[in-house]
Amino acid sequence: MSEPVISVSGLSVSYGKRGRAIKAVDDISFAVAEGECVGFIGLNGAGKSTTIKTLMGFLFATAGEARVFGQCAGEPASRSRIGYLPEVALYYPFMKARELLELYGGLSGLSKQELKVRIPAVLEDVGLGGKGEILLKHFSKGMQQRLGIAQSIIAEPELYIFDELTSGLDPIGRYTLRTLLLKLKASGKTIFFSSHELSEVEMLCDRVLLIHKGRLLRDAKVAELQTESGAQGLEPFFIELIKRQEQEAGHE
Amino acid sequence: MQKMLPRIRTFALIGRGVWLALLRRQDLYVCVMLICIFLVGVLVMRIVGIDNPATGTFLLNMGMTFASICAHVMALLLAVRQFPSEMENRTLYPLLARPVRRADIVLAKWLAVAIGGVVVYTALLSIVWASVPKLETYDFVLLAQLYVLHLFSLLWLAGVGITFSLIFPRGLAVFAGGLLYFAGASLRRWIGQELPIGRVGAAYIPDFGMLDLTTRYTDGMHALAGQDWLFLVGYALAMILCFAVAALALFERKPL
Repeated sequence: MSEPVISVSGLSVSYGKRGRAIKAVDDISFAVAEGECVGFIGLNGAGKSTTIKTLMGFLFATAGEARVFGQCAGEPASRSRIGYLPEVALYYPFMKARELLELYGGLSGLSKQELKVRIPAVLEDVGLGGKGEILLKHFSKGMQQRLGIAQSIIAEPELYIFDELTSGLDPIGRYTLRTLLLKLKASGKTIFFSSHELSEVEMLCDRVLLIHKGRLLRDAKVAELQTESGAQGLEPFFIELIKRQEQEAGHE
Repeated sequence: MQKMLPRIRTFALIGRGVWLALLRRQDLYVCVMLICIFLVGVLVMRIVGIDNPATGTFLLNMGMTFASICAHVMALLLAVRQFPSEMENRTLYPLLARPVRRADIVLAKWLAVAIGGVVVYTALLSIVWASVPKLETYDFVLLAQLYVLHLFSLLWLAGVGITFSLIFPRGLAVFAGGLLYFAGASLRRWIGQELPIGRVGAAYIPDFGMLDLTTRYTDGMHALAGQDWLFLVGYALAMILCFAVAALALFERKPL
């Protein structure tokens, strides 16, 4: 069996100084195999973004380890194979969309010739066709989010990590993005994303990880969860799961 | 699979972003307006007629000092803005998500800021030098020494700005960098005389004034002796190295 693309074992991440440190992620372990599409869900502050930032090397593990493509998370060699979309990002207001994609694409190793072909194509893919020469200070939040997706896919990486996939997108934007993800999935790319939209997770993912208060509550295939939840659907099922966990923690 | 980039291309790509910020924000236009005011003043003086060599010297000194201060202040403001605004707007995340070492991001931004400062200084200095009537003889070797020391000085101040911006809030970083640039010599004197750490301790306070030979040049003095000039270059290099080490160490393990 091939090595997992993402492998997290006993990962803990804390914020703040010793003594007053807050544990944002507490001893979680999971793996994502090549070609899998995994949804990472949980309430606000559950630890989704912290986990993703640790996978990207922006934050450092206080215990355990996170590996991407068999290398320590954050190593430039592993980052060269990742397309990343941050939770909220504003892009340089003094740049044009084309210039921004030239910067990120160039840093990802694309040549000038490749960029000339890729930039119009990705702008078209995310619904920003013909907007390459507009300064980003004139872009709306939704357009910035689409541009964020464009920068994450420009170098056609093997692994996509999206933090809050559809935040700020209108229904058409969501549809465009869903279509794009399904295309990536069909081409065998590995996708790992956090989202609050359970319907989206249900539609796109093979597997779901549920995190609550820094701990992994559930790691299961979508089909299994659909059988388990029955007619009520995933959303009420997860809410119930979290409530049950809260009650158990209260009893302890 | 994406490729790892040659360092020079990484530096050029990140540098281009810094230069676009410089060109498309307002700081540069303030400089352009000020130099235009200076040029109008010189033009009026030329029309009225400058007979006294001291007046020419005064104008040249004023213009060259303005060019120096303008380039330094702009480099400081640009340097201090780099990381804090990237962190506030979260533009640092997509940048760090690329296969680029953190150290390269720091060095690329640092160099780009310094080069921006050098371009502004060169342009302003050329305008001033060409426009002011020179009624006395000035030493060209000293001008070359002055220019090279300014390059080091700009590189150093850019490093101070970037290092301080990784430690202090932006306003405080501008204040501390400005204090060192404008009042480093006074601070050094005062510490040397008034505080128990004395002259040895004061020697660690950066003094940008040591690298500024503008007044020496406009006073019509001779160039520095080779070893004196090399001492100043060595001093600047030592300071640049200190700030480079500090900035790289601060950013390398910074949780973002």
